[in-house]
Amino acid sequence: MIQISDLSKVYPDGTQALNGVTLQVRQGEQLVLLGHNGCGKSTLMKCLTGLEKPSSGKILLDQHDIHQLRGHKLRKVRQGVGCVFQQMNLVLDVSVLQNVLYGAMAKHGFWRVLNLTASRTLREQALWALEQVGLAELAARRTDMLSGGQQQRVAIARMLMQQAKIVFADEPVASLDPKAGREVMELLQRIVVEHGMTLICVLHQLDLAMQYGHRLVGMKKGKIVFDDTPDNLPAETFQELYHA
Amino acid sequence: MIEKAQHGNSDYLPPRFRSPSVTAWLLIIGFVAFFLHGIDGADVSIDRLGQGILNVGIFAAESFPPDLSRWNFIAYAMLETFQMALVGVVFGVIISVPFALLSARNTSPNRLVRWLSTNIVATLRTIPDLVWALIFVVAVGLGPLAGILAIMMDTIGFCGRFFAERIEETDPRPAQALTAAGCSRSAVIMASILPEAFPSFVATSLYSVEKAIRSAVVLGLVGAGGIGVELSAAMNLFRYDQALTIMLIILLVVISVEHLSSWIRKRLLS
Repeated sequence: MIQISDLSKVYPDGTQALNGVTLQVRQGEQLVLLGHNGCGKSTLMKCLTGLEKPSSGKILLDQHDIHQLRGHKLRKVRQGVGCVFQQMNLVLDVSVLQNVLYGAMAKHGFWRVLNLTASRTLREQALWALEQVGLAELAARRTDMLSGGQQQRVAIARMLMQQAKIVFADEPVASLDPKAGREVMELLQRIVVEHGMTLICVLHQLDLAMQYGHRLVGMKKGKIVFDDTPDNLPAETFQELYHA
Repeated sequence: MIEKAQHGNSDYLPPRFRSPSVTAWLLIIGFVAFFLHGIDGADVSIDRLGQGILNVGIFAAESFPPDLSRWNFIAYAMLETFQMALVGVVFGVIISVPFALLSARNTSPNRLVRWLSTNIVATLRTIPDLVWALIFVVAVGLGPLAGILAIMMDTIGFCGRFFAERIEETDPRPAQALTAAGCSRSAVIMASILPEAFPSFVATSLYSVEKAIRSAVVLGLVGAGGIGVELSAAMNLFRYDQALTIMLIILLVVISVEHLSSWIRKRLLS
């Protein structure tokens, strides 16, 4: 489903963020990326979403080379990719329902997802997505009135509305308190499992990674240093990853 | 030891005043010379200032009590001025939005378009509204249309720049999320950039209305319609009592509009 081959990224200032990363992720798999700050996790996520262009290598999403696509074809592939960001990246000046409706914008266009002009079906779908994340009663509220945890739930509802097959979550709980973080991870995992989505998630919390990842991938200096199931990875592996 | 540490090494103490460079001195001297030449050119003297105060006293004496006999004509002219300002600003604001989108770094399609758009807006801003009014009086004749067009051009120059700056200040992250979800560039702009910039757009537009009302009064003096025509006529005919009525009405309207727009801005931005 996701095929990353020999991916490298060198920034204009000479920083080598990724160095020959090769990874294959099967459909329905939940992969967690681990590593300290600056090891290349976020760059890898940006390359996966097409927001950053790699210096060399290839990324295939559902057989499509995302960095070779342009215009409509690129947008079409991106429609199937949901993103959950550390800072939620919601439009704060509009309602919660409107943010969820934006999840369908790539498919339907701006005017058909505008709360004022959207069809009843789409509005009901958006409300259903909000019900899934437990925020239906806040549909009319302005997004900037919500807490961090609630905003992250809205971002997940937007991803649901998008009907994504692949989910990239870049430190989705980093700006939340431990309780809210665990709730968000619980919700994300439930939705990913229920809808048969593939998840690549960057996490800093080892306990969360062990609990929610089928597969843990460790990164250091732009390279993959381990790739295995949580049960097969001894505690020293993580100590080496973070302290060495 | 402690005493030394408390006082520190005086070698590293920065001076209180650093003497400006030669270039800075030249600029200061140039500025002072230019300023003094300006005062000299204006022929400022105690005699002239004293006479000026006396003339203002005569004007004040002759203008009291204000003549309200033509209040209906004056009120109509003020209404025309207000409408002229409002219509000019509305069209100006509408045209400013695409100019701003083409001028802002994060929404412009390419550097050439951005350069062109920025320079068009800068040119419109550089030409004073009075000059625009003179051009449009020649183009479309005397009356409010010339005033509306002049205000429109001035508003594009003003709002085009401030809208573009606000667009550039928007948070890039929501746009990034929508782009990553496969949304088109125009949809991303409509859905994430414009909603964030909208309150600021409204606040800037309200400033434009205030500015346009003041401009519209002056534009009338060159024949672009509105209450300026009445004021010009009253002053030329030495009807200072009528002129005072006009000035009071202008003052009332300008202050009312400023209060109203300030109230709307406050509500909108909070």
